[in-house]
Amino acid sequence: MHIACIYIQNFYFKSEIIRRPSLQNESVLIYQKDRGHRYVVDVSEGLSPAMIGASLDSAIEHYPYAILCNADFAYYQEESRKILVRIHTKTDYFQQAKLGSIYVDLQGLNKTFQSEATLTTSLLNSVPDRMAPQIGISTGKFPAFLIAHIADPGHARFVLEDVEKAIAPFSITLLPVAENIKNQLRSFGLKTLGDIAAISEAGLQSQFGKIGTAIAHLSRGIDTSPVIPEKMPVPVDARLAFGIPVANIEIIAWAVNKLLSMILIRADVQGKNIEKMTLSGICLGGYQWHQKVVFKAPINRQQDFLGYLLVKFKMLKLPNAVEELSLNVDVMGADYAIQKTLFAVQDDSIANLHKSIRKIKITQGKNPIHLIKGVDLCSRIPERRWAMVTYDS
Amino acid sequence: MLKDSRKTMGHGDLRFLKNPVPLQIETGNYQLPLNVLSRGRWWGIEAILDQWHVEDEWWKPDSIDRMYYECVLNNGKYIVLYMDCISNAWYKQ
Repeated sequence: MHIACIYIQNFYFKSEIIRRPSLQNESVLIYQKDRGHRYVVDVSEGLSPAMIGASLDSAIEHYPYAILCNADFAYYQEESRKILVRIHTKTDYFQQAKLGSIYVDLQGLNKTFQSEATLTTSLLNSVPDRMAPQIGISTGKFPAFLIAHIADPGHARFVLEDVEKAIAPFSITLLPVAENIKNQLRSFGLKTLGDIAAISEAGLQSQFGKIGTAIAHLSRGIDTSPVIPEKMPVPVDARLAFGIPVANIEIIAWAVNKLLSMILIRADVQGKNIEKMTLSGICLGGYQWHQKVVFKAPINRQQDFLGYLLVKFKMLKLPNAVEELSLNVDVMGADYAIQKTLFAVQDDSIANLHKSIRKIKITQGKNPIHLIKGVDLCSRIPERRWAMVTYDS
Repeated sequence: MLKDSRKTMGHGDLRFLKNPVPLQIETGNYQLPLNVLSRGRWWGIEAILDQWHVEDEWWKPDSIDRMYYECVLNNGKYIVLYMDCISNAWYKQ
């Protein structure tokens, strides 16, 4: 089994450089706020990686002139997603361990790419040059991850034999175990993977239990955990051009509904979970626009999709009439379904509800049960969309 | 003359949801919101994630002209505010 690890050091900082190239040669501390505490999540090259995880205040004491940057995880995830999409064009067998760290199972790829050089070049080309990825290729995920750390930026390093010897000098800090386990190992005088590999598996197991066996294997470069393929959304799109540019919202709503029908009728979309929709268009004069809708829960009714899209569309201030509309949909591979009840419990529950309402009306003089109804779901004014009415009205 | 026996027209027991709540705001440059007074305390606005303009019902005497801001407060919570461009009052929605 040959596994490649694509490792991007200081991924958050390198993502920031892509949209703010002026930060390239600056000292930068990227921080996050959590329950009122601010702590460092990444640093620029040249700053000590020991600052990662430290409080922002103590990092500022060490680097008082560093530029402070609030972490934008949505943007970092988008940058990571772009890399995954590029890898997806080459193989389905890849797994994101965390942002900036991706495993690729190389099985079968040796036949597609005639030599190791073309294979590694192809993997390197999946990542923007500015991110200077490091690729490690070995016999398992953990050794590949370690080898990637010592590969030169923009290059790959192969270690397929004598893996235990190659990873022996690495610190135990890189083991994927809890901090208290690492502290215990240090208290025994074990600082490197080579120190741990020198101890028998039985000895580690007796001290640490099941984790001891895992530590024993990992320190010897044995990692049989498979690469679990990422679920990538499949893009589907539909397009519609108007013979005469259109400014009427009703006609545009009809057109969006038509695009939805074209997409939702497809066999590769039916029954699947739709993650995201992007409605784009071109106005008279060439002005291009797009609006994105992300669905956090499964929706199965076309009119609900239409409602969300039209709400987003109405937020736009378009300079001119619309000439062309297109709808792009990201479909997740897994099927979804909404489970309905097998029994006629629902009929009983409604009858019980009516009975309870009658009783409350007698005791309290009024019906406190209300129903929330959609009044104008596409309205741009939020308080006009939903209203409460008395249940039996 | 015959009396009109009909009831006056109205919403009845229809109650609209997500009604705007008046809010006290401190603004900075370009009328952007800086601080929000909520539950007796001032909260700083950490970032403005999105802003959009809603102009509607111009034919009515109480037309709608609002500038919306989707913000993150310094306690990590999301809030949607708008400034009524006619009365210059701020509301939370």
